[in-house]
Amino acid sequence: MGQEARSNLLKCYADPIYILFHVQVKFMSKSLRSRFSGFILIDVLVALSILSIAIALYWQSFSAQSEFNESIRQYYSLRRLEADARILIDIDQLQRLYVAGYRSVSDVSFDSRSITVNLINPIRVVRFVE
Amino acid sequence: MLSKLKGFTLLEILVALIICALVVVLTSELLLHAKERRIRVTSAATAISFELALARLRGDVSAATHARRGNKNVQISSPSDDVIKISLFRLAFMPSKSRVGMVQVEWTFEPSGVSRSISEDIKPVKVDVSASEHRIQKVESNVYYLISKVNDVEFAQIVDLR
Repeated sequence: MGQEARSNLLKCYADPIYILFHVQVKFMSKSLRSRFSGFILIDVLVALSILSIAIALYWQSFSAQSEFNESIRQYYSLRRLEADARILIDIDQLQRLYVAGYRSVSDVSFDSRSITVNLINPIRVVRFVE
Repeated sequence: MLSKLKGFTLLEILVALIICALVVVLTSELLLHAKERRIRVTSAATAISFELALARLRGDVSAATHARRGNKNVQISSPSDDVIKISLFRLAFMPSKSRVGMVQVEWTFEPSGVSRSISEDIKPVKVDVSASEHRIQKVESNVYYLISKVNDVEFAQIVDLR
């Protein structure tokens, strides 16, 4: 080995970044060391799976929240409709029922003493009888 | 190792592109509809708050004191075209005096929302909405229909003063 080559080698060993890198690699596990040698497909796939699970959960929470809100609205709307229908039946003014003011109700049919309500979601029929 | 650092193989690039496309497809659907869904959820939350306010109004009106002539002592007024005020007296628990007493409850339906003011209220009702319209229709003497339009959704409730 020539004088110049030896000098370069010494410079190299004296470089702290070089030393740090080699110390790191030395103490790395075998599997981790092998990762330097190529494309880490499995890592990307795991990350992608986690991302898709997170997105799916986020989406599901949105849908569940919407569904929950809708069921609460329908519950209060029906209670309001029932209370109002009873008052209108009491004063014989059931024909004055303002159907558009009660959400989730697709169709309301009534005679003088009873009211039948068709709900949009879930589809069912509710009947209030005085 | 050195040879691997020189560049990516065609297969690696293809796999990376497929994964990128997959990520884009997964996230784009979410981002496109996120705003719309958020508006829908906010609108539903406002509607539920409004429903609760109406349920509370019904409770207030049914608990209101009666006037001498028999009907409920409830005053319905409209100071301007788009404002409706409902004022009544009822028994309520007064936390400051630790006893039940007569309190005045005042409901205000205005374009910016609905509010219920009461001197001794622990939990005041305030429903803020971006735009709302309210009107009151007479069904019969002492029976009125309160119709509100909040975010293009109509709410109707009978105010029974008999």
